[in-house]
Amino acid sequence: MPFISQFHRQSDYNYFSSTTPIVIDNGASYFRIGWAGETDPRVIFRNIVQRPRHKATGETVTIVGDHDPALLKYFDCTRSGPRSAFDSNVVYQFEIMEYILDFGFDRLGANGSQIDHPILITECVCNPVQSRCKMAELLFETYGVPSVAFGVDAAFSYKYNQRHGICDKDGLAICPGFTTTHVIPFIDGEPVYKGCCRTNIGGFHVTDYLKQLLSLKYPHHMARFTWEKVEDLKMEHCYIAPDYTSEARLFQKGTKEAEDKTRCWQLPWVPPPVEEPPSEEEIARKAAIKETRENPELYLEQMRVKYKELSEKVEQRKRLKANGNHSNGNNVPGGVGRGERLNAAQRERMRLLTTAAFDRGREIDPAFVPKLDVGPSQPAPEIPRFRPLTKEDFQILLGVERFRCPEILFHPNLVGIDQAGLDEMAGVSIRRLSTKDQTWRRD
Amino acid sequence: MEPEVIKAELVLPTHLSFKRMQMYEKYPKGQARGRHWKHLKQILQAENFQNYPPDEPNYVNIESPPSMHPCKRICDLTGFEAPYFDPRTNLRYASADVFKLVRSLPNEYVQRYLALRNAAVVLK
Repeated sequence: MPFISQFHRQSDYNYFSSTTPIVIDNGASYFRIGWAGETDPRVIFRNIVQRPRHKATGETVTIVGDHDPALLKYFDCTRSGPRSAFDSNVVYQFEIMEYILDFGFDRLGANGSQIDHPILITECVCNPVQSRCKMAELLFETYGVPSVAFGVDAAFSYKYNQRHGICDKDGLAICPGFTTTHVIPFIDGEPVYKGCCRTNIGGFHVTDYLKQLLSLKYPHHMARFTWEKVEDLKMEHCYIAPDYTSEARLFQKGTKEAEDKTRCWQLPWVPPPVEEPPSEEEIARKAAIKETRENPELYLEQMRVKYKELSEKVEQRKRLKANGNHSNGNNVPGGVGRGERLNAAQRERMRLLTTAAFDRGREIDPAFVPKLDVGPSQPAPEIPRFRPLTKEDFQILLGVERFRCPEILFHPNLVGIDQAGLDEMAGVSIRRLSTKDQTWRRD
Repeated sequence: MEPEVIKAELVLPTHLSFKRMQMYEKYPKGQARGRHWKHLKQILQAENFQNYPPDEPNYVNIESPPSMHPCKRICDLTGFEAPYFDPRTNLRYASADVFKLVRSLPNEYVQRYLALRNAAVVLK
């Protein structure tokens, strides 16, 4: 995975003097924080917050960023999904922003009674005054920061490249973001925001589009397409086709090139057990089933006997437990009481429903069928899932989707957003500059 | 708290030394946590952009205009070029085989394909 979050606690906070600024890149996807003058940020994590309940203690805790899903099993994450402080590219939820800043500063190693360094923080282009003012309030009043500077990340990047000679003092910066894309012209090294142009399409929309397309194409495996997994797929396999129509035609004709370009994702799949010749017990069981089909009363008798036995066992177990509770006060976790109220048949049904054995296309428990049609035997209505699923059913093919999804950056109409794409935005941006700047631009 | 959770330092600590006012003081427990933060639309409305001079860039006027290029028509199901359009379901399709698929889709899927293009019928 190309983007790796790193949030080890840094230990050298105290070695930096009070004049060294802390630089924060507050992006809608990732939050980066580090020291001024270094080449890389120290701490990077996804800009989301979750507030699950701890299963054992019941208290609500805050978890910032993306973490190892194995550790999250101790928390009940069903009631709270991950929340972001951003609405499009503007920060509006400052409680969440405070959690994120807390975590960021904490991992940077901050200690002492306040953050004693000037802060440089990024914001979106033409950030509404209210959002900027609340952010400044948060930094000054809660963290005790001595000074704050706001800037646009694209402008800083352009300046850096200009200093290294990669860009001229006049140029155009194109910055696709998480939810928006900007095109900013630079004249004489300064960004001209009058000519800036913003379209509300970004990486989030591309991932979302890919996720929906895959879910619709493979509804069977919908649960597999989590947003994080689809994002990984997008980063690894998607590309931008120089000419969409000719690329699509290649795939439509089914040429060899198209085959090469198609990527295949094999999901874990267990082949169904091979049918062995029926053993002794199988034959005996089938004979018993046939018998029950012929005379239902006998079957019912057998069932009643079984039920009596089971209910006796249950009573016994209850008595044991009552005695056991007096001797050791441990509570047996799980729905013990509930489990005992279900009889054997219902328990079996619950087991099948919860393990979703039928989803994987394995053969249904043959003993299950007679319970449904006790009476004149009819062929059970066969559902298509009885066709044994092969390896191919568990393959996800990414062909056209590989370049169809990033195409929305250039044609937002494909997802219904009626705005100019990247290519057109460059033209719009230059046209927005005043004529004097334009002639300068042409030179 | 389980030992591995503590070791991983997953949870944000409640008291941080560098803060002047802690979270639990600012947002006391028991009070309605649904603090009404203004959404972007409300923020923009409250900004009153009409009062500012029109040539100054602000959040609203740097937005890009609708596209001048003709709309690209691609098939909703396969992604190929789609010159044809099904009036019953409102989906675009590329060829006769795709048309068979289009007509055999249950309504739920049709609406979801249309929603991808923002063309689904929204009943309010």
